[in-house]
Amino acid sequence: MKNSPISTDNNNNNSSTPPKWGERLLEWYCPQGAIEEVQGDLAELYKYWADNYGIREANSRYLYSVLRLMRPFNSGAKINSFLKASHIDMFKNFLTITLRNMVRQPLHALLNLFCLTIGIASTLLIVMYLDFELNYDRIHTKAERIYRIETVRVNLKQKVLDLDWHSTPNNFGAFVKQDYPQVENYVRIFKFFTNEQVQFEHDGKTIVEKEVYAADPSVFDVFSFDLLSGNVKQALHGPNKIVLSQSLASRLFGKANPIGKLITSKLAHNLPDMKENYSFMVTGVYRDLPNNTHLPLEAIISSATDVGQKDYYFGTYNTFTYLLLPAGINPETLAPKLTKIYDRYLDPSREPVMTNAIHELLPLTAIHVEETGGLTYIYIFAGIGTLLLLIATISYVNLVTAQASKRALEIGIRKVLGSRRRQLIMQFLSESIFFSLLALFLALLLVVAFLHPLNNLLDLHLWLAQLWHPGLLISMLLIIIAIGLLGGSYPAFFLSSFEPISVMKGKLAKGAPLRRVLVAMEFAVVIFVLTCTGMIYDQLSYMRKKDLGFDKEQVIKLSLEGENELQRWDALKERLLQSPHIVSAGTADFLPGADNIGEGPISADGTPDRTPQFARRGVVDYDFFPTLNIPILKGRNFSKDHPADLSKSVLVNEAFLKKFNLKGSVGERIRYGDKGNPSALEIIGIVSDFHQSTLHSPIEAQVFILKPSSLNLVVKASKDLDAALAHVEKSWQELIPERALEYTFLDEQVQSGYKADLIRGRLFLAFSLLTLLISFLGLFGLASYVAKGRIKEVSVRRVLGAEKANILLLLSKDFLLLVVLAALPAFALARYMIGKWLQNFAFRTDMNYPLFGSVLLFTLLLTFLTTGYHALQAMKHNPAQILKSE
Amino acid sequence: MKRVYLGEFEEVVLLTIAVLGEGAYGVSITQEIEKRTNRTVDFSSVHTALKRLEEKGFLTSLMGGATKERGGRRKRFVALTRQGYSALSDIQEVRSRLWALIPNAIKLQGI
Repeated sequence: MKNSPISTDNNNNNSSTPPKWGERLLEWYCPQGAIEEVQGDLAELYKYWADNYGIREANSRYLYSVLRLMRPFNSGAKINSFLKASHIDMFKNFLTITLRNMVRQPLHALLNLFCLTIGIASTLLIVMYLDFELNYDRIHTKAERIYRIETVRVNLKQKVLDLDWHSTPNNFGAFVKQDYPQVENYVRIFKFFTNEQVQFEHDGKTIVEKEVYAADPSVFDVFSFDLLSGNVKQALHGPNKIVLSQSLASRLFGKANPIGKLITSKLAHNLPDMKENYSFMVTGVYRDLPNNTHLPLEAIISSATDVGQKDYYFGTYNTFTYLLLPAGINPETLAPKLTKIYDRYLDPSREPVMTNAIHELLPLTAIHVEETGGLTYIYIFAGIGTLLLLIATISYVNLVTAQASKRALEIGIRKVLGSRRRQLIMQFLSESIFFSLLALFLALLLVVAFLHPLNNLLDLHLWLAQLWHPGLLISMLLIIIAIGLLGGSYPAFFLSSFEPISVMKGKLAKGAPLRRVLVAMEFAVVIFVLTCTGMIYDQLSYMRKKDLGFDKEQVIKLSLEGENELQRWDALKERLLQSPHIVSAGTADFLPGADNIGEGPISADGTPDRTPQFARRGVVDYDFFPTLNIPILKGRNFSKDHPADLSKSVLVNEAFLKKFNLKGSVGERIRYGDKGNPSALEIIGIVSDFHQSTLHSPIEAQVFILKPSSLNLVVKASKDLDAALAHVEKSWQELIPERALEYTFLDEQVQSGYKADLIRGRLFLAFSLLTLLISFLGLFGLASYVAKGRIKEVSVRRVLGAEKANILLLLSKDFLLLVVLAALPAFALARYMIGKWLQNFAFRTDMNYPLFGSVLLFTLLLTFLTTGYHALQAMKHNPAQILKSE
Repeated sequence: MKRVYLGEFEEVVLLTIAVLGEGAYGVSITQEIEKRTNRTVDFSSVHTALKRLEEKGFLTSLMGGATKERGGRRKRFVALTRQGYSALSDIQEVRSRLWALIPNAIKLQGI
């Protein structure tokens, strides 16, 4: 048919022929009855176009016409029936067979799909989680060039302190910019006030917000805040200006335009004797930051507002300093140079303790990962995701091979009718890919359905749009197809290798060591994950139950901010104690278990060289220790009978004595700062050690001085907590009516320090349940396959008089052995990994070996039940029925 | 007999076939329409229209003999059926009747 000479010459009458591919395309879908005339007409038109408009135009018109002729819905069934027999037919047949098999054995199909869907859905969620974690702070367009100055070592006059502070001295950034012109810009972000939460007031309405910081105007240059209103150039220039996040603005102003409005606030300055009442003008509103930022600013105060800046000097590490470097600058060469700034500008007479410090530059994009335990958790979750997919695939393979016996007849017939092996392989591969694509679809539905509850349960902030990312979508599709190929290839090659005659007789190939390896891998993963989960929960419950050294039950915590306010505690305390439901109440400027205790250098007269060392410094009142039931081991508590306690006495904890290596205890004298400090404090009592922070960190040396009132009021309630709370509320409303009462329970506060651990524990629990489910589904499939393969053997044994129990054991034995074999590496790995994880905790539970044993027993039991079920099924048949065909 | 609906483009195709008389086939129809109506016509639309018109019974078709042109492929020639002719004249009649009813004033102003 298409034998005319090919030529691109367009001045010759007879030689302009349409491109071959176009004709092929036409043949592919054009009804057979019409192909000739259409091809002919188009060839004629092509020549006409080529003669009049040139080859290129002709080609494009030709292609356009060919494509336009493709009208699948117009052509109707009439044309379809003329479709040339082709590969499409074959695949259509495969699909039909797949669907028929699904309908005929809905349970098996559901199990297959379930395995894959759950595996894919959880992997998707993990991918979303990783995407969330790894893309922290990417909202800022210059993120790649932003670095935070970290302080890794402070050299004191007599001592070196290794630490990991994220902050620098307040004045540091300006010196860096001045001395190193290659630094494009810097911004300071800091709190100049001690309020944990800031209360804003406008027009009688008050709101409370935690994420309030002061920042330089350059914050808008370094970071990419999306200013919805206000002027970037002026918003933070000059004192008493404030820029709000959109959500904060709407909380305070509703729908009204906040620009130019005044909001007032009381801020307790870091330094003593500073002004307390502030009035800010709103100069801008920015779009809310996404949840994955390490700096979730809700309100930014202009840095010029802080009038105490000039007094901070080098010793006050209260400021986060971010540098914007030009592309191509190596932060690692810049960071060591920063130490020179101290040598140039630090006046030793103004700074008594410190000589200089060593800094590092941490890329903005690495901050979150660094602060949440490094890449370890990222690797762990990526590993879990891969494992889950692997297990799902293995289970899928096992289920498909298990169903092979049902397909054997089909395969035999196909073979007899002349199917080539390649076609059979194609069949199973396409079936498998079809399944995995279907599973992907279902998995997406699952993710959509369960994202919200999962976010709530695990305290995550994943959103669906994360999946809407071309790279992610394509790689997902590729991975799914790869899974389809991988999962399908074993059954494909295995099933297609059957000998037609033996297959139709019902004989199946035996052995298959590969499958045993796969199952052993599954067992290993299950045992590993179960053991890890068990140990994590062990540690979590250890932390819950551990005696922290203070009473955390039935304790209500209130806080007040601002120096002037604190005097009102006395009245409130007095009022509270009138109720029989309140046992006692005391104040402190810190909260045990919350890790918010300041630290500073202290020297003890009793040590040989009187070198200052860092210790935590807390302020308490007379009743704080009794309220939290923290015993005084030696000496006495502060007492109103000794007026000197207010200025000359100090309590220390046991860790302090150990750290300073004090031989005596009560009666020793210590000084804040170095030995030059003229005002010595006398240790009047030793406080029993309590955990100042979470169990991640050790108990630190701490001193306590007396002040009648400070920030936090802790109230110990009697048994009837409700009545106590009601009384607290009533007293508060009477005495401090203009402020809303905010309270937390101390035990909740303490627990919140373990939020991240708790979430990881829950995640692990979820993963272990999933792996357990998926892998035992696979085992279920495999066991059924094995039992069917040995049904004749079972029948013979029964005829010969074997006990049921013996047969049960016989069929389960192999699998049980696999469990034991898999347990060894799994336990070794779990022990290693959990050992590493436990290093994060200063206080940790011991390796729980009975747990290892029970995990093994549990797995063995489940395996026995799964395989035993199929063994029993095999024994249900009448041996005579089974054996008569032989 | 049930009246079969005739689309505007189908009508043009049918008219063109009538104009061409003998020797109307896909390409000649396409080019004739382009020439007479000054509009670009897509071959595939013509092809589809021909198929539909034939299904509706307005056309008959006949495969011609093979020639050396077009790579030796035959043409499918089409011709109007009686039904096709009457469908066209029906439309014409309806239109003239409607034209006659338009008031003269409007006709003159051309709106």
